[in-house]
Amino acid sequence: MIMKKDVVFKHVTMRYGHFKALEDLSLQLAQGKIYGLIGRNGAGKTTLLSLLASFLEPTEGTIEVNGKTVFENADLMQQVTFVYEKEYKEDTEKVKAHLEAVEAYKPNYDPDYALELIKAFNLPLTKPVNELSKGMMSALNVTIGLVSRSPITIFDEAYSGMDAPTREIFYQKIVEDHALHPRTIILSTHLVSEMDYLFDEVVIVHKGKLILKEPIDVLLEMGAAVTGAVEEVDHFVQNMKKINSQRLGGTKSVMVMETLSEQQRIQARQTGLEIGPVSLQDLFIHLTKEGDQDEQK
Amino acid sequence: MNKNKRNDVKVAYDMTIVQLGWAAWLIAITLMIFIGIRYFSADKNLGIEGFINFIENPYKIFMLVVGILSVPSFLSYYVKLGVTRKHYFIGTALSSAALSVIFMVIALIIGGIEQLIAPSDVQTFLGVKSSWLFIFIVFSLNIFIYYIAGWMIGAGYYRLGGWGLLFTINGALALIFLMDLLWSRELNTPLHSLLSNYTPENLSLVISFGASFALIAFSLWIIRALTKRVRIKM
Repeated sequence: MIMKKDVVFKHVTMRYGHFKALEDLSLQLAQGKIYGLIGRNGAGKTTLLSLLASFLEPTEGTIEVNGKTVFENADLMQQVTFVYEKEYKEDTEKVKAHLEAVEAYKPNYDPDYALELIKAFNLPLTKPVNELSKGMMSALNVTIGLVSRSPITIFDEAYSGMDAPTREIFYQKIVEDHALHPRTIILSTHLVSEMDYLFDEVVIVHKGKLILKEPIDVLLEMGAAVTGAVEEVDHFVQNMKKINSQRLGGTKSVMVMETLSEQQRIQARQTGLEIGPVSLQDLFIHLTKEGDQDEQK
Repeated sequence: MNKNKRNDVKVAYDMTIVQLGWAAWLIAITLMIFIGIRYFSADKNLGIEGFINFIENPYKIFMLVVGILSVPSFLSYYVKLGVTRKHYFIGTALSSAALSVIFMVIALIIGGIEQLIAPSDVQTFLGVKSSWLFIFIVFSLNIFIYYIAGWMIGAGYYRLGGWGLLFTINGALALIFLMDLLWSRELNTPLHSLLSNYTPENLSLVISFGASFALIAFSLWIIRALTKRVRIKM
């Protein structure tokens, strides 16, 4: 069912000249959830997100929020905040003034929360924006994304400049603030293993097409990691689709793409095998690799 | 902050303030040069036409340059903040008109002070001793045209790249030439001389104003068409 504030992509195709960045992509994002958008380089993630931010218009299809087309709709465009790795080489404005300008145009901007984030990220308010280090720039960008509290907030790889501890602060702030002010958040990332716990649902795009969109628990149940003695493991997984395997001495761990039945789980336990979840990272690698092979055939 | 105000009004206000900030330097420096020339130069005829005439060209060049920058810097900036292209367009048109008027108010104030210190005949292309209100209106209009010309060039390049420049630079030149024919006839290019042969020497004000507004409307229409659905560069 389509809820009022859902984001709906309907048969969206985006062409740049002869290059198809997105092809007949249909996707619905429910209000208030955190989505992980995953895809390899050039998969069409940024195109997808910049379409939602009205940076461009799709060649075919529509993108709707509230049942209305987003592009050039003043009310809807105000509800979307798109954060990406921006360069501010010519921007000599100080951080404080930069944030004030954002405040003037973002209806839900919370100045108190801004102060909290400035403190958490150690942002220098009096420094010109173009003199910030790469990490500080990223911190400023995500600060803008968070404090705008837009009903639709997009972070497109906005964290690559930050070091691990800073990223950790960012993840924590997302979880905290999303609990207090639920909104649709889309996190596009390469850092799958680091961020998977943030996602309610996962969207995987590959070569301009939607591969899947599933709640993360459903997705992780699509596969399993089987660990135990080499022979037992080999026997157990012999008819299954294996996506990764590791061996250490007499122990082997194999990841399979298979939703295990209760019976299979009992059988595994009886033979001394351990069944664990697969990681999103492994699933992602597997799912997008398969696409490659299909292409080659 | 003015969160309930319409975005086009906000854009108009913000852009006017920012661009006035830039222009403050221009006006201050031009004024200093004018004073320097007027009172310290050996040639007493330099700058004799008065400050209003002296600052006309700096104003025009400023407006041309700021106009060129408008789409690449302000349009991207505002769309990123969630402002529509339409509101940017309306806001920019309003702010450039406001800027032209404010510029002339400043020039007239300085010109007025100049008259108090050293009364002289204010001499512009509108003739000696034309009314200040008339100077104010016509100069504002002419300064505004330079912003439009620059704006068109910037929009053409942003939308169409190098080919856009080919069309819009010519469009901007045509606009400036035509405005000159309608008003001052200060320019002197071969094309211009050729065109001048076909236009009467003294146009009636009705024709001058009417044609000017038509030109402005047409140019604005082109700029809007170029930016209406333009892809924002990241």
